Amino acid sequence: MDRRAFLKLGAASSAVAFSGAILSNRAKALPQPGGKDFSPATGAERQAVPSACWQCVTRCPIIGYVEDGRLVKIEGQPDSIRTRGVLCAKGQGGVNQSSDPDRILHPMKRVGKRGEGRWQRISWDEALGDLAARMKKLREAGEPEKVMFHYGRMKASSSKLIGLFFETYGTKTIGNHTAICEAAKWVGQELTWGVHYDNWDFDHARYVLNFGSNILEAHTNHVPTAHRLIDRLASGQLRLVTFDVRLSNTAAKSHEWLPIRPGTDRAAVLALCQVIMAEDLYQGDGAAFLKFCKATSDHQATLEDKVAALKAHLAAYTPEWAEGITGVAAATLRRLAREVATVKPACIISYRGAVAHHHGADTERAIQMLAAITGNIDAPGTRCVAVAPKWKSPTGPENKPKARELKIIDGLKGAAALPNHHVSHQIFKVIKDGSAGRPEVYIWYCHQPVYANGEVQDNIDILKDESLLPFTVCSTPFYDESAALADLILPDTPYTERWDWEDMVSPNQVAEFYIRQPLVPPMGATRDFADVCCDLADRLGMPLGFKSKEEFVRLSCALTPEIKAQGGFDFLRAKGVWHDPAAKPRYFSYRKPLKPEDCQRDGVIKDPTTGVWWDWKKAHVESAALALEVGYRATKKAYAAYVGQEIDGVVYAGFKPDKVNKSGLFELHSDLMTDKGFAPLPSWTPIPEHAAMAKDQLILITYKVAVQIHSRSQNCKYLTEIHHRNPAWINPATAQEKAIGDGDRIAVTSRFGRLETRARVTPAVAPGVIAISHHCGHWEYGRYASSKQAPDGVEDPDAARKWWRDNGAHPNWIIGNVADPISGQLRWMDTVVDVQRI
Amino acid sequence: MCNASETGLSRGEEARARSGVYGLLARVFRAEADAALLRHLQSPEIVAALGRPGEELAAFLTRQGTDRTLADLAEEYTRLFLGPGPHLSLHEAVLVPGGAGLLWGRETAVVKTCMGEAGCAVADQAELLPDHLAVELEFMAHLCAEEAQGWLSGDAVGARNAAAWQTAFLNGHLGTWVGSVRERLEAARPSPFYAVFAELLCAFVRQEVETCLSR
Repeated sequence: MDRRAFLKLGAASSAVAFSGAILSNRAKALPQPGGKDFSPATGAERQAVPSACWQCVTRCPIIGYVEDGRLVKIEGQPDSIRTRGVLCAKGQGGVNQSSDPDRILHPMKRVGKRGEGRWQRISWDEALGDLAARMKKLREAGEPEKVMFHYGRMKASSSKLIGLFFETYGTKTIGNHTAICEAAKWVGQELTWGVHYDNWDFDHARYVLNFGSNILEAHTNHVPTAHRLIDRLASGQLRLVTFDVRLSNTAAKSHEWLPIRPGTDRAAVLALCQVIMAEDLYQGDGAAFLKFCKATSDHQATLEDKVAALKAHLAAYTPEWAEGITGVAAATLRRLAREVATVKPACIISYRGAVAHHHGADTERAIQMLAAITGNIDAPGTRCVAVAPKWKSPTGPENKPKARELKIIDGLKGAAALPNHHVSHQIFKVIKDGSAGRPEVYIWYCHQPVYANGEVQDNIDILKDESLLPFTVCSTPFYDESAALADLILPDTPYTERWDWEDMVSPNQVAEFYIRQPLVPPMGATRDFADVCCDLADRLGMPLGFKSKEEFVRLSCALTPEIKAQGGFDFLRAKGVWHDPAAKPRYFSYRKPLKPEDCQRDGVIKDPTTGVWWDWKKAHVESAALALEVGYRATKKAYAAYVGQEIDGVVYAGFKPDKVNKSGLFELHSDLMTDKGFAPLPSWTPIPEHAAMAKDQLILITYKVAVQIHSRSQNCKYLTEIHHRNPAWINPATAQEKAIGDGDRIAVTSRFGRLETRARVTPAVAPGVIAISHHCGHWEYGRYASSKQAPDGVEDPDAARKWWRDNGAHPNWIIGNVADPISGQLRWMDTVVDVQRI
Repeated sequence: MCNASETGLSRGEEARARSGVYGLLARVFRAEADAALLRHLQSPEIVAALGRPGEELAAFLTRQGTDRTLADLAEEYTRLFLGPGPHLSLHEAVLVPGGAGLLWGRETAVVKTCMGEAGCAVADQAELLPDHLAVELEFMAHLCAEEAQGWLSGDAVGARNAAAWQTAFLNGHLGTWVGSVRERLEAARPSPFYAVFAELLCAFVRQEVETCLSR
């Protein structure tokens, strides 16, 4: 076209006034300034916005620096007592979350077959109109439970607000993801001391005994605890000993690494306990703590009875016995037992390397037992009951319906005896089974059910099947493997564009209040899912009493006395974090005697079988007589009515139960375990698959690395440039037996599937094992995660700088959604595989 | 900006016409096509102005019913420019050779500043970033309209000032990356609708840059 033709076109078009819809002359308000940072290009001060990270569950306080409206940098919050200004690589890499060009910026509905990848942009009004109509129809039919909500990461105000929405709507068909994370650890703790969050007080510890925690790379309270551990290590004030199948970076920084056979940590722990009891090393702090422990079926047992029971139970678990199971020398175990019993204080820690196994919850119980008999519980420098801020928040409409539930969240029949945190990895199997009903609307949020669970192909097949799940809705900022199978995508904001109040536990036993606020405005048409819930509530005729998450946070600040006294919402917006400078670290809370009037309140009685004082009215029992007849343990959810624990005639605060009706004692001996057919004291049980495996088979384990979150950071190109491929670690001796050389291509086959990857032959992993990290092997999630060449040939303009093509392998294709029979935890580390060079 | 004698239009008329081209292109790339846009593109003046591409476009737009055409174009717009999944993110910071490759990259900030200095900002409800192709095109449409207003009202200083802004913005921004848009769009096998407009976009902006250089 020549210029005349163009100008004719322009003249004909100018009258239609197509332009003018985008630009305005209004300047936007600038974000509120906070700390200090300066542009290296101009020297100008950047806007600093205090907020909170959300890359991992630790949720560290941060400061985001904004220049010209761009989020250019994220640093730690120096005023935080949790992090003391430290922030990990993952947190700093969060700058990529907002700016990823593969973000979904508009609501989308599929227009082809499910999973075909054909989409059409729709308005929020259309998207929410459709969803609300479906929800309304089910509610009017008396079937609100057929709306299922399944979340991955959801904490603090997001959890409160979104939970409130579904509660007000009337569905309790709500799934989580804990069983793929740490359910075994939590159930183990609930059975012993009641709560499921522990804190590791490294500031005061002199000895740390670590079973399977890679705390320096990944942990639920990563930076707050990891940097303290490093401080103590660097200053020579602490000895760190790590049991791990793999030489993780934590193991590498330890004074001693014990490469242990997978799934045998419990045997090692039992052997340590055996030595401590047999050599009377429990005396002193351990003996004093046993006063608060239940070690026999009798809650009133004497110290002598308890010691005798423990000695008898542990007698067979000698270091020599354990050496044959664990591969750790008996002499080493004996030495370590003496060390941990005598170097005070000692902090005994654990995580998935130890507990993501068959009977992993019992391993956690054994570790708790080791801490108990050495007196290393809830004291300075030990494993402590976690301390977190107590927020108050709006509670929504007064008259909520009695919520209904499809019984599909606790796994297949018999999957777990104590599914306190549900069995999320089996939800799709239960839906396929269908005998407990199926949801008609399946909504997921901040979750990747396809990628994050085992048996990936099964997940795909079920989520794709419209006869099993008629309508699927996904709230996500990114087009991941699960979103690809949605019918409706609601574009969520990344955490850098959200409001929240936050409540993660403190590493120093002093509560810290903090908030998250948008570092930059929501991009495109994206909306925080909590704001979507507020909108949906209005459309469903059940207004929640607030219109947005921001308002919810503002109201919460006004309702929470500590924050209100400081200036409320505006104060936290400006400061980001707050703790009471006069607060003392909280230890020994179980030792606090109750006031006499606490036990004299109306409804409070003593349960003679357990010594528990509880409120039968609060437990919704009809009468005191019936409560006494049925008893505390047999009353549904009596734990919620716990008041205190009587010991030697004194009623103490004790170890308050949660999720199960345990007593207020620290229960080494658990009648609840007996009730479920398990041994009451922590005991050795071999892993069935391992016991039955052939000599030439290997055990597959998984792990996380320092620069990636499990499945939500691979779009962050700064992080993925560092870690994007994950060759399988294999010990040289094992590799030699299989004629595998470093860098060889190998096939790894389990009964669930087969994957191909490359071998990394290294002595940094125990023999008989193959270790493949999480994070990699994406086939969606954008250009940095999957290197996915566009089917239509569109090339990444940044390709010249993106130097990698190998995205690694995803181990979950060949790991089963198999549950720990106690807790329901997915047994990540138990898969038996055949490995061959190809 | 360009020489009026070559086109037979006065400077003001020419600037207004150029504003019209930018406005039309901005509309095409801003969002899914609607019935008003289709009607406009099928009008005899437009078909005549576009010549052969205009005939191809008209044939494409009339081969099936309007509703079906709009639905197909909506799906195609989503596939090409919005995702989810592999798509062409129509942002300078993402597409300009050697650029940040990110949304809200450094180039976005520079464009935002540039627009701010000219007294413009992206409206909240537009839900677009400052360096989105449609925003940059509309910014040019705005500057051309200002120039036209200047010439037609006798404000030569204002007109020249607006023209200088156009030159700077074309050379610094829009002109540096529309070639990438066309190349990548071609590779995505678009329908004749977006194929024609990718060609028009590239050809027009190239002419604009050349015209500016020749002055």
